Formats: sequence, structure tokens, C-alpha cells
Amino acid sequence: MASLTGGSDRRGQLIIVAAIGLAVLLVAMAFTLNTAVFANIHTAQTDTGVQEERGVVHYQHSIERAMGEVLVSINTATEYDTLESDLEDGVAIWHRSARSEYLRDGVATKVALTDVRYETTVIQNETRTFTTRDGSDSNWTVVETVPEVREFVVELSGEDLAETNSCEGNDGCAGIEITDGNGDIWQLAAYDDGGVTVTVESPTGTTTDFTADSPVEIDVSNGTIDDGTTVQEFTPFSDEMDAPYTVRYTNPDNASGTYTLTVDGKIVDDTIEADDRYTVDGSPRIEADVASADLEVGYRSPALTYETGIQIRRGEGDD
Amino acid sequence: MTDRDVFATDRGVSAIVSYALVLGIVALLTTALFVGFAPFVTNQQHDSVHATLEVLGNDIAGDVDSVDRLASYAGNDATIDLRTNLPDRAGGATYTIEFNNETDPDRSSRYDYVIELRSTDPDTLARVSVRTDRPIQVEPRVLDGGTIAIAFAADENELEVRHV
Repeated sequence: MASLTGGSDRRGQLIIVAAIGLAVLLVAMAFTLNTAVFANIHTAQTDTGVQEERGVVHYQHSIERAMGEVLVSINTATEYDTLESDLEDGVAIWHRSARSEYLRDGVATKVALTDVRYETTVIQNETRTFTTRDGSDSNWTVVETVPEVREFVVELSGEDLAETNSCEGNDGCAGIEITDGNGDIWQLAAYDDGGVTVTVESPTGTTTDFTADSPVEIDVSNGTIDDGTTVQEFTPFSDEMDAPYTVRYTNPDNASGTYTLTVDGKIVDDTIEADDRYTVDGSPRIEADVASADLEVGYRSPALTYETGIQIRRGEGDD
Repeated sequence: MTDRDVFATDRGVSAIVSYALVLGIVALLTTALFVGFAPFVTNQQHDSVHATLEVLGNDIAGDVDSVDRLASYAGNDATIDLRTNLPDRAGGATYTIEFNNETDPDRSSRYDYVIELRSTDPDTLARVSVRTDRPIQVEPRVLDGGTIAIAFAADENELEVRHV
């Protein structure tokens, strides 16, 4: 302890102690003031939400683009099962590639196929009777209980038409019969009455006759009859009926021409090749496509967990 | 006659007076620092805590916005959980977070909330607005600082904010 009566060279100890006290005080004040700056810097760095949001949107958009292209590329297959397995392979390959890329940034990703929806087109593009592939003259069901008929256009030739307006018996007029989920029936009959005569009978029993020159294009789905000079209209069956729809040809050997029928869903139980109604390369043939696919998407980073289901349509994401 | 030492440093000043002077100056300086700077430091701390709470509030609002947008983007089948890492203290003080629903259905079909961040020492309140497409549920009603989770589940179609 410094002596109050000591020499002047020892009084410095007290001055040093006082100086240290002041220094500590100043440092404490500096710390207090610095808290503000530190806190602001800390909080300004916490903008992870926007970064994570951007990462998820980018990832999902990549899936939509890639899978849209995959749907286009696999739709050259001729059988439903091949289409689905090709799609599963495409999704799995893309998933493996994307997962390794994202893992480098500490993000775990997932994409998996959960459901597939088909679109089927029945095509007869060479002029022949409306029979099955083996030419059987009996009535036959083209598609059964399909959820949607997207397009049904018949190009009817006047050559093989029956010359009677009665559709009874094997020599009767050819027709198209559409039955809906309530059992209501919409009918179209075609016969030769000096020209091509088409009779449309709605489920309510209303009958309308149209006469046209051969060949006649009948757009069943949109309700028009066009012989190249005149377009006549009738009420489309879908305006008066409810899905699902079953489409049948009656007396199919008493009319000839071409047609295209596009519906949603898969229309054969087994393979197309095994179904004796259609072929895969002649007439009438089936062209099966994957119209859309459901995918399960997952994205997990340290800050964000994101899971959703998305639907990809063919060609979606093309820019 | 004796010669006097004209260069002596303690001429006319006793050691006691010298010590008293040193202590007095130190005491004066310390007092001046406290008196002069204490309000300044207090104000600075208050302002800094308020500014920090505002930044934190904007951070929460931004993350709520992000989850809300992602929920709209993801559609009807989504599950989202975003963690927001906030400090336990702002400027050395603890704080609480509260969401107040100020939605006026007559003015907008969207939901308006005010996020209130409150610190008791110093006593300050920061308010930040956020507008969402879906309602926000906060459990418990008043949250402490620290990591919070902002979640969305499609079956309830609402945002849930909770402490983690």
C-alpha cells in the first residue's frame, strides 16, 4: 500500500489504479454501445426464409420441366405397362441425379411417381367398315365407362350404307350408341336415302334428321355434321348426359369410313395386343399416351421441410 | 543563508493534498462520465433494442410471408415447416413475440396481422405488419425469443407459429 507520507515516486501506484478503473469503465461503456451494432448485424443475416423459398421453387420448377419432357419422350411406347415403367425409370433417374446435386448443399430431396393417368385414342385412318379388327359384323363396344370423351370425329362414306331407316336386324342402318352413367342413351344412325341421312336421337327422345352429301364429317363430341358445303348442328351428347360414357357401334358393317375417338383412361384390361378388338399398327388401332402423372415431391434443408404432391401434364414446363 | 532547491517538485504541496487532488480528479471524472454518459448509453440501448426488435419482427414477417407464398405455390397437398433462428435476447434483454389479428373482412379478403415484439428492460415495443392469404394460429399466444417454427398443413389451411 502506498504510504501517504511516502515519496513522490510511490504516489504513481494510486494514479495507475485510478487509470485502470477509468479504462475499465470506458471499456464497459464501449461494450454496452457495441451491443446495438452486434445485434443488428446478427439479425440482418437471418434472411433464410427467402433463400429457402427460392430453393424450393427452383427445385419444383426443375421437376415440372424435366418430367414434362419425360412424358413427351416416353409416349412413343405402344402398351400401357411399357409407358408406366418407362415413366418410373425416367423419374428414378432424374431423382438420383438431382439428389446428389442437392446433397452437396445440405438439402435432401425426393421425387416419386404416385399415379398415372392415360389418354387413349382409337384410330381408324383407312376407309373400312366400322367393325373390329377381325371384321366381325356384330355390334361391339369401342370404349366402356370412360370418364371423358375428348374427341370423337367420324368421316362417313356413303358407299356401304344400308338403304333403310330401320336399324333393326343385321341389315339395318349403322349407328353409334352412347350410354352414360345414369343409363341414358344417345343414338346416331346413318343410312342411304338418296344421300347420306343422319338421325340423332337425344336421351329425351327428341329426333333430328340431317341430309348431306357423301362423304360426311360427323363431329360427335362437338355436335356438327359437315359435308364440305354445309355445316349442320345438333346438341352434343355431353350436354345432356353425365360421365362415365360407353360407346358402341351397331351394325358396324353397314357403314364405312374413318374415325378418331379420344378418351381419358385405359380401355383394355390386359395388353392392347391381346385385345381382339384393336391392333397396335392397323385399323382400328389404339394409341395410348400418359396424359398426366402425379408426383410426390420432398425438400428438406436444415431450416425448411417441404412436401407436396404435384401433377405433371405432357409437355408442361416447355418455355 | 541556506540555498534553496529551486527545482524541487513538492515545494509548498503536502503529500496529503497531492493524494486528495488525485482522488478528487478521478472521482470527478467518474461522476462526470456516469452523469454525462449514462442517459446517452441508456438511450442508445433503448434505441438499439427497439431497432433490433424491428429487424427481428421483419425477419419473422418475411418468413411468414415465405411460408404463405409456398403454401399457395404448393397447392392443396402441402406440408411446410420453416425454422426461424432468432436470438434469445435483443441487445442483452429478453423479449416476447405476439401476433395480433387486425383483419377487416370489409376491406380485404386477406388476413392482416401485427407482430408485436416487446422488451421489458428497456421497456420498448416494435410493431411489424404482415398480410397473408390464410389465418395464423400462434401457440402459445405469446412466444419468447429463440427459434420459432412457422408451419402449414393443407388440411387445416392455416399457418401455425410455435416455439421450438
